[in-house]
Amino acid sequence: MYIKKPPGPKKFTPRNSGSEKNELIEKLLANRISIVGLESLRNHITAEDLSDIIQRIYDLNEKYILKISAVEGALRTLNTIKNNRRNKRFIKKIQGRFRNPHTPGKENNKVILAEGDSWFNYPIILTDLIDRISMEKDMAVYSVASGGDWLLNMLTAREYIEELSVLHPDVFLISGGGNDLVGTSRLAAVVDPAGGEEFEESEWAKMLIDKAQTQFIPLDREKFLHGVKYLSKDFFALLMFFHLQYAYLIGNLLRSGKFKGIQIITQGYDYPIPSLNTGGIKLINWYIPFIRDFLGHGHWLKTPLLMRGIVHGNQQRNILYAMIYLFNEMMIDTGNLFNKIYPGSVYHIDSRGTVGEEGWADELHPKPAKFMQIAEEFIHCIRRDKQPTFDHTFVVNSKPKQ
Amino acid sequence: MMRIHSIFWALFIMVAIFYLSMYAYIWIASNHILNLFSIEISPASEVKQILTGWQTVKVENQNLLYYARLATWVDFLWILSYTGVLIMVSYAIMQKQRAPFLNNLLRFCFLLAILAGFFDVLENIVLIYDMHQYTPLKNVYSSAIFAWPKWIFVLFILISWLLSLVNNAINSRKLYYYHL
Repeated sequence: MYIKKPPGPKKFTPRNSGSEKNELIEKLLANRISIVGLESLRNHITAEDLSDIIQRIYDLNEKYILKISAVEGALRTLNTIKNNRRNKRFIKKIQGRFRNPHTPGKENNKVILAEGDSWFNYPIILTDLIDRISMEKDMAVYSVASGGDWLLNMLTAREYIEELSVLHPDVFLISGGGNDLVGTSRLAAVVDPAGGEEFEESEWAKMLIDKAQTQFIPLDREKFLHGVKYLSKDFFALLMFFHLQYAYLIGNLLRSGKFKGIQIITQGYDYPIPSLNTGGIKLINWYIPFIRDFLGHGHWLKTPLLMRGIVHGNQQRNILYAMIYLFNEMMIDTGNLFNKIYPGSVYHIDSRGTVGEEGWADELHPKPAKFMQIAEEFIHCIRRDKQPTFDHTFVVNSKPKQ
Repeated sequence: MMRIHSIFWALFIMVAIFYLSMYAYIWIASNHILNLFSIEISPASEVKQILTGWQTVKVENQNLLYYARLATWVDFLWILSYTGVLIMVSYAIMQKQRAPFLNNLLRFCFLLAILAGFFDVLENIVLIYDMHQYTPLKNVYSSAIFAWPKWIFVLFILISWLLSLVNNAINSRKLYYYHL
């Protein structure tokens, strides 16, 4: 079989040759950047820098990356259908004078904009997070979320920007990063079957874990240390890239001053279970074998890990545990940075450990009951009728830390 | 998608109008009711009686059996439309159902709607065979084995809708009093 070789990255030409920023980018890509260095990079990062970084992490040129990250074909059509239906309902609510702060009973109504991936828009059968949030009478959700969408694509397409300026929402929900990690078998590229010490080299990732141990979600140290050693420098570079992307997005939104009082809510997935199991025959959950057969189950996690010779179930699960643990801690840390400057602006919904063994519809998506359980936490956060579990983080099904 | 929804609803309504008109016409022209339900659930011996009876009832230039055959052929369109409508309505109710059990039950209704349609197709095949060139000497079969599951599935779907609507109504009342 002839496989066309994808175009390689454009030759990297530093924009400010020899500048400190380019040196920091080099260090980030090598996973040798210090916390101070990352902070400095974060404060000066531009869209062009982000583009340069991703091209080098993925070892592909930008055009090709955007091509593989774009949601195309039937999935795109199904996403659009679902969003159209949601947005029609949104318009209907608005036309019913939903946003009317001076009318008793409507003063606490919330206009919400949702941008994200399949946790926000699972186009068929499942009831996803936004479906559940939209059921609330005091919440009108406008969705630009697309199943299969990459965070990179969301930031490049900037669809949410246009809607932000039109809707001026009370709440902005964002969910992204999962597909950047596991889409098109990318997972195979960020693991190292030989194992290594990249975690030890990442001052920033170690800081995240040190902080995490003082927080609410318990760290299974044994599992984490077993899994984290198989994460390559590219994973840590990608994690820092996510951090920079989120910081860029949130920072621009808050700094613009156009959206005073906006509440930004992020989420960070649960520990998924790599699997090739198609689910067998089910009665009430009849849809599970169906979606597993047709929608990529096994190709997101299990197959890429097998491709790299990571064959033991435990080893695979521990790798995913370490990845999702770090991803959530990264999201919490990113939010905290902004909450210091803009108090109460960024919240995180932490669903680690919520879905459990039997709660997955496929490798990446919880069953509807679990989606609904996680969505309840979003609803509490939006209504502000419950204290965060700690700082600005709502842990699903938990009580606030005393 | 709106177009698909509209197509299903339009087909559903058109076929329903066709059936109503045909039944009304038969009633006016012959003072008889074409009771297809009775033949669906009858054992083979009764099927023979019913078909023989229909053969003797005249409706203008045709007999009742002719209209029964026509209704059974049109039923294929009806199956397509009602399966679509059952799924669409179940989906719409599901998207408003916060109780995870009922939400899942309504998702299960998608499968039941498809199964109901599938059993209805099998039932029609049996009926068409029975009605084709029917004579009292012909061996006929009962379609009850397919008709009963079909009706049970449809009933299950309707009960699920009802439960969901009642649950939603109770919850909105609770919410109303909570806000008071």
